Amino acid sequence: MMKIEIKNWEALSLYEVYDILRLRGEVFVVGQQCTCVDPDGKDPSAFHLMMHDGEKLIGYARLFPPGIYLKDASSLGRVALLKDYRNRGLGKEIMKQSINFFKENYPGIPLIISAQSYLEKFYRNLGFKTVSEAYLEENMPHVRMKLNL
Amino acid sequence: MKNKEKITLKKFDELNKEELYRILQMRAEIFIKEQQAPYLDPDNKDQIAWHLFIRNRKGKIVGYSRIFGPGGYFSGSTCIGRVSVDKSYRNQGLGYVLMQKSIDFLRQNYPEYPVEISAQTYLIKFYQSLGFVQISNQYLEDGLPHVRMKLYFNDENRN
Repeated sequence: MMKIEIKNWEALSLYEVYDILRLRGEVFVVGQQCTCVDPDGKDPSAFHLMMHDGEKLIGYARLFPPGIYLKDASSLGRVALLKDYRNRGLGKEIMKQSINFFKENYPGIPLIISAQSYLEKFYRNLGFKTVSEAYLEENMPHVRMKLNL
Repeated sequence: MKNKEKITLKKFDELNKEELYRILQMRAEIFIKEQQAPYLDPDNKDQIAWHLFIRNRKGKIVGYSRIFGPGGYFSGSTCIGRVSVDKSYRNQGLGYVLMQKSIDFLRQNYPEYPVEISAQTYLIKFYQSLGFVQISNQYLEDGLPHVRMKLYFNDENRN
């Protein structure tokens, strides 16, 4: 059974910050061969959803309240799952918990994400609707998707 | 170097989150983005390392090196790595100061051990000027050419 918790920056420990940046490095930098600066400076104003298997951080999402990443919408990104834990519905679980967080804390405000195009169907199954053409972000095709809460 | 007083050396546990974040951010800016090397920079060795950093006048960390005691990275040696200077602070001797301070720390604490580094080849001369000698042929690490170099504090441990 995986344990999920959501913390703001203040509540994170030094070790949690490290584990988060390592997990994101494994998934986005190494896994997707992206030479991007993952620690983009926005983490102190985000909430951090962490999924642990025992002591090990295996899943993650970064949650932005309205007005932080997007002006009139909540947002989330950096949805990450370690390779060994994929195809077991854990990504969906991370998304469901994230959506619940926004529903409870910021009801009535839409959730808008910049989704990697290959995951469009995954997000559509969670209720998101595509609201843009495909565009490149960090050299990878993305679409903007929206969920009304 | 005017910023001498702003040099800090900390164990992992002594870092605060903002310092850790900025250190990992700067390492990503330089080693991943600038050098176009998509490797796992947070390699889980930071927890046992010392972290030396220089702040600018506004308090932003603009220079950094990672220091290991004997056996922390290479067996039988101490080690210095991830030496990095923010792009807008280069060519001011900051890299040299970072290395001198790192070496001083190791000389004081582990004089009986040589310092070993995996040096990017374009910096061989820089490290030679600090007393390092090349001890390997060129090899690739994270896609970039490196050589192994060593600094001996005295002749006795040169064997």
